Amino acid sequence: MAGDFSAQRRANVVTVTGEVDMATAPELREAIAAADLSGGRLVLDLSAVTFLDSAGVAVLFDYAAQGLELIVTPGSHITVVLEVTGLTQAATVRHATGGSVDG
Amino acid sequence: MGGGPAVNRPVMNRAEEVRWSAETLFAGPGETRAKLRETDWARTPLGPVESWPAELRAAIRTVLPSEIPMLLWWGPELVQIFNEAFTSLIGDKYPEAVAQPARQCWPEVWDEVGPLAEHVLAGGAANYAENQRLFLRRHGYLEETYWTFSYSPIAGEDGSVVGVLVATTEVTATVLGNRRLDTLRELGTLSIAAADTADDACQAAVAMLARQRTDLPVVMAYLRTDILAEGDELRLVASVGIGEDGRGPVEVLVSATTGPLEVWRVAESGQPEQVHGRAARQLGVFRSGGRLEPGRVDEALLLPLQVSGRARPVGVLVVGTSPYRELDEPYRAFVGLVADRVSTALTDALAYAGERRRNAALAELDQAKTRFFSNVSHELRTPLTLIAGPVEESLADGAHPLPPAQRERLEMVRRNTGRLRRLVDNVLDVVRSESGRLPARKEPTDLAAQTRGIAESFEFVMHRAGLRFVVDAPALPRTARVDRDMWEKIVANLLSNALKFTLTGEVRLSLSDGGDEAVLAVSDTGVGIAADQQPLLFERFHRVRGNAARSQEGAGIGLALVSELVDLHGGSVGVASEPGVGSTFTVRVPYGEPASTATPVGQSSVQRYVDESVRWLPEAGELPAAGGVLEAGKLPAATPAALFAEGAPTVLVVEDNPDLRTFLTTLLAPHWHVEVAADGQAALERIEAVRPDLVLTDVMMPRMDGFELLGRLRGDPRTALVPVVMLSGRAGQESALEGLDAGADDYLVKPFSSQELLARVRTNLELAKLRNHESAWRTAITDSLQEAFCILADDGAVLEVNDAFRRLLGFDVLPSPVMPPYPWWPDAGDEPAEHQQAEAALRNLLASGSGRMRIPLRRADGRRLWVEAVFSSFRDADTGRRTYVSTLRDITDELLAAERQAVLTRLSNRLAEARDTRDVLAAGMVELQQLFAAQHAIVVSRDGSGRPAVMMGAGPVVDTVRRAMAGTVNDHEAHIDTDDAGRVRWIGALVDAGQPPTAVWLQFEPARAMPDSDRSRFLMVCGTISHALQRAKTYDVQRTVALTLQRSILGPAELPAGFAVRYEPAVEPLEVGGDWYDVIQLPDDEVGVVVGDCVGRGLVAAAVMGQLRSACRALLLQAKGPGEVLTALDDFARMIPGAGSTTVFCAIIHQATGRVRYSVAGHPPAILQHPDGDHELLDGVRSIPLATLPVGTRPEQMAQLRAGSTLLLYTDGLIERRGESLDVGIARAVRAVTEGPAQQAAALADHVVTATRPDAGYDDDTALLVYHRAERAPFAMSISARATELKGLRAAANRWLADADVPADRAGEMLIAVGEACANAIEHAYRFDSQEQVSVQLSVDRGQLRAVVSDTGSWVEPADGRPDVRGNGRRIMEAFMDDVVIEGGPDGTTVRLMKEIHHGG
Repeated sequence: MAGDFSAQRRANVVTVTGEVDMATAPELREAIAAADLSGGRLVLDLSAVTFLDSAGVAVLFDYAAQGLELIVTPGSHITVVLEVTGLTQAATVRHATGGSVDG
Repeated sequence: MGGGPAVNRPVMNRAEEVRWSAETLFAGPGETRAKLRETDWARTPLGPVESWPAELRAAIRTVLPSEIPMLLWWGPELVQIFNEAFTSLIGDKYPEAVAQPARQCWPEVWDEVGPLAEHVLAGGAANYAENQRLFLRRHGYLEETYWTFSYSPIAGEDGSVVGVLVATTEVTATVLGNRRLDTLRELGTLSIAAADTADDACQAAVAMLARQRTDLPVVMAYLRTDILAEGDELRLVASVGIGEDGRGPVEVLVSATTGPLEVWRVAESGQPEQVHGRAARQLGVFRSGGRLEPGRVDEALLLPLQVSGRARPVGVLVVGTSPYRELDEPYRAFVGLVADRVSTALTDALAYAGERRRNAALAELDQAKTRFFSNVSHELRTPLTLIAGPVEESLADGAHPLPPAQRERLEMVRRNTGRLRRLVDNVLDVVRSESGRLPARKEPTDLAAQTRGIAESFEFVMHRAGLRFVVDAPALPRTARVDRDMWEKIVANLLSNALKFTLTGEVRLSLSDGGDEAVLAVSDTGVGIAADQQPLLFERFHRVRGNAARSQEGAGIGLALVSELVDLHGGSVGVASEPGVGSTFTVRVPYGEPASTATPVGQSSVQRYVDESVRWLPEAGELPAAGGVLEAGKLPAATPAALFAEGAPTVLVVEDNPDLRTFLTTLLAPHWHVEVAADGQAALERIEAVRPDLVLTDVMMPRMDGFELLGRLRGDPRTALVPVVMLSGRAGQESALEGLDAGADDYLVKPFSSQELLARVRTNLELAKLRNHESAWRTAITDSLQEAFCILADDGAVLEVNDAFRRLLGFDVLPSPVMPPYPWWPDAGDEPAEHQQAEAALRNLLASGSGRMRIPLRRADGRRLWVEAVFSSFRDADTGRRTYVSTLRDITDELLAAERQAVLTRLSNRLAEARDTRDVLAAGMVELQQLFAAQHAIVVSRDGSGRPAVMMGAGPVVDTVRRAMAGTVNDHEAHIDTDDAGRVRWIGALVDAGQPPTAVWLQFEPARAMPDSDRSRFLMVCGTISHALQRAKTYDVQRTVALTLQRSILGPAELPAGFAVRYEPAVEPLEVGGDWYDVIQLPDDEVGVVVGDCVGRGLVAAAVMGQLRSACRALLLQAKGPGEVLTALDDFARMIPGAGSTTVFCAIIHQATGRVRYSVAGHPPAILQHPDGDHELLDGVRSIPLATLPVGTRPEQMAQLRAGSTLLLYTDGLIERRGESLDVGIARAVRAVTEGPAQQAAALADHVVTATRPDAGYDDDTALLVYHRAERAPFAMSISARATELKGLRAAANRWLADADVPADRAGEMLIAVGEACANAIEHAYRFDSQEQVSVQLSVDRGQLRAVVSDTGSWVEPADGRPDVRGNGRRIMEAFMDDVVIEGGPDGTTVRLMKEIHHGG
């Protein structure tokens, strides 16, 4: 199981690693809010996220309306979570290419 | 419980017709087959012939045609069927023995034979016994017999032993023959040194015989009390076997008036007698003790003990014979030979005693000689000196010259003293020279003048003695050649003897012409000599005692000297005397040369011999030309055979001098058959044709002299015993010794008297008769031996063979001796290996001296023969060379039988691997082809339209095969196609007589000869293939059914997690049987398990099992408890034939709790093994098998599985072992479970099977079922209802999942679902009370991963009422879980999650 949560911003891209749960969802929200979206719409790289619950999903839904691109590892539990919650319809989903799930 | 021995009646195909009957099965020649056909088999345990199984029929077809005595014991009662050869061995047991159970037929030997048969019948290995002694009652008495036999099992179609094949050979004659020869050989080694006296010899012989009580249970030796004087009383000197039962005493003395009359009669008559019954017992022949009880010896032979040179027997040997043997010719001959051997020992002992007496006499002689020398010096020389001295003085005295008258007298004195001194000196010379005498210097002499001269010197003495002295010596017509000194001694001695013993009257000397001799007679009117003293007169140093004589002085040598001197001249001396009247001594001396002085000196010795011989011959006209040397071819014909009685002994005269030869022939011919030879070489040639009883040979002969001839005769075992008498011109003891040393039986010095020659020849012939008598017995006994027998010399020469030997090797006539390479050796060119083997065998025999070996030989007709040679050797006392005796036993048939057995074994092994009919045919065909080295082998059957077709193998169906296959096919014989020369091109035989018939054919290219043995071997192999084919057919059917059945009942059942099952059928190749297991998933976390065992095995049991299994399954699915299931099954089993006595163990396991309910119907207890090492046996329910007794409701019992516990259900095949208690078997199973791998049911099941399987596989079907209850404890954790707690919870849960072997994917999914459940609880808590606790439980059971998340709040949908977010938690849980249950209540909310994880077995 991967380690702690972290979110790093680079312009409009926020790279999230670790577990996103009820406890870390507020941090995720802050990281997204601080992102510089002048260069384009928000891109969230979730390919290194090891856990994502409905609290995290709720954060993502909040930003989906303003245009959101998600980078995920195909076939992972994260992808399933995104699918069953309908987020994949609300956001643009891109598959990570060389990325590692475990970060 | 479970499979007992199956009932092995072959499954008879109803459509198949019975095509055999007693008529066909026992078809063939001979009384035995006829008897077998007549037998009412339906009344025997075997039942009617039509019901007999194929194995029995096949066995009968093996046994009946065999030349080897063979016997078949069939079924548990060992009912007998045997062949003609066997019938001939069992005497009056036939015909009862036919179809008789063995125990009834052989009660007297069943103790020995029974266990062997039972061993084979019980499945043990084949038995083999060699030279087994059996006391058999086959001729009305208990008979000592010996047998070599083998017991081989005959297997039924299921492999169990259903019969015993006995192949046997009677070896009684061999064993007895060898035993008796051993005894005789041993007896022959009796040493003279060990037997000083006749008594000693008898005792030593009897002591030796005591070691062979079997043939000689009783032996008594009687000898004459005074053996030398042939006394009229006999005394028992040695005995064995009498009085052992406390009876007796035996008569020790036997005479005309006392003791057993029979013994006396034999001692008188010399004729053997036989007594039996009471008469035998009166002799003192009582029953023997030892192992042969309670047989009573009541037959006895009385044999004279003969010593050579004695007319009457010196004793009697009484032999009580074995009650276990018929007193047949070989037995009699043996006892006769024993008596002969004892006689020989007696002869030796007596001869030895005689020798000692002679030695004593010679010693006495020596002493006499010493006394004589002493006498000579004192009694002769001293007075002579005293006489001669004064006489010389008187004659030489010139001072007082003698008057002429006195001088004349004294000069006479001087002459005579001188003569006397010479005489004494000469006598001393004679005495001193022991072995030779002084040579006679013969010279022509006027004997009359010489004699008158000597007589003249006695005139004075005679006159002085007052005797008239008359000398009548006119001139003789011929000049004599004599040694003058010796003649002087002869005359002087005779005259002085007459002077000495004649007191009054006259002494008369006369010399006359006796034709070829001069006859000197000196008569007196003296005291005369008693008749009994006369023969002693001429012995040296003998002096007639007690007679009146002039003087007691005298050397007593005179007459002996005369005799010797006359001998030297080839003359003779005799005496005629009458006591009180007078004596006349007559000396006859040959003139020594022909009458005519013109006869040239240096004439050939032959001519002289002729001259000497003339007087011996009846008619001079019969003489061959004098001086001629005869060649062998011109030898005068032997005296006409008509002159002799048939069988008169033959004497071979070997003499180079034709005249002497003729003389000897004439002399011997009236008494014996005479053969002649001119020298040693000719004699040897003659002996090849005529075996003489005695050889009379000269010493000096051209080509080969007498000594060499003697050596050759003694060196050849065939002639070593022929007595040889030598004739020699050489006198003296030394040359006699030379002859005797060389092995001559006797020695005669020329010249010899006719009477002496005849006496010597007669004595030696009689001596030899005893020896020849023995060899005649030997010939009789060897010829009566059933086994081939031969005697070999140490150079390999075959000296003697018996009739059986000639019969065995097929030679009617054999030269004698036969030298290697023998005509019966395999040809060195054709069969080099066998030839070398035979050669090596001979070398081995000659080197080792005794032993036993197998040798390949070739009969005269070229047939191969294998023999077993048993041989031993002994050193011939006469020749000092080793002689070898060998018996040969024909083991060709045995070897062939063994080879056949090996072929059948190999074939059986190959066929055993064959699983279907095709395999069998292919294996059989290949095996046959290899065995007979055939070029082609094919299997031929018929195609759909009935035409012959090749099913297997490469080859055309030739016309021969087509015809044979199209016609009526006989399943009893081989079809053979031969070419014009009788060589086999094709041979074929049926291997399947069904429809269509199937046959195997072999093709030989080129065609080749095939002996009958090969043909029968071919048939036998085909019979075996046929048998295997039948078995394979049955298996084919069974297998098809079995596989169908198996698919339908065992099927590919998927087992719940934690279960494993195994099934081990006892009967290959079946994969189902009477045992079963079942695992049924029931509602409510419950699993029904069943293990059961129907009686029997194979298909029948499987059918019953299938029904019970289905019923059991149906009952369990109806939610019945185990007790109810078995109660219902009781009723069900009563309705199914064969289902009675089935045992069942039925249980229902609650997986969540590990609770077990079970019920048992007579089944062994299940084993419950706990993780801490404890175990329980689930035997709380005492019970009986299904459908045996009414039991009402079957009770249930409870047991508890812990986490990590293992439950083992099994059938008794797992634990049951022959000769072992069930507890031991259960303990073994417990150990296997304990030591096996925990947690993995499948691996554990394999381990249990491996650890408990006997080496030979399970005896019985075995089913087993293993359930392992997961050991991992559920995960349980409580956290405060705060978001920050979630991370720790997830980490802990994740570790537990990994430990529980939950796959990582499933674990991740569960963590997400559990996370959502917890999030809900935390949301709830935020809203009400942050002190709330959330508890999480995880467990894995039956492949399901379950989670229970509880709090005290209620389920709420979070996210502020936003429709897009509302319900996401539930959605996520449902997406990942197979089952999500949310239970809300006033006390809180519980979320139950479940995910199938599909792992494990």
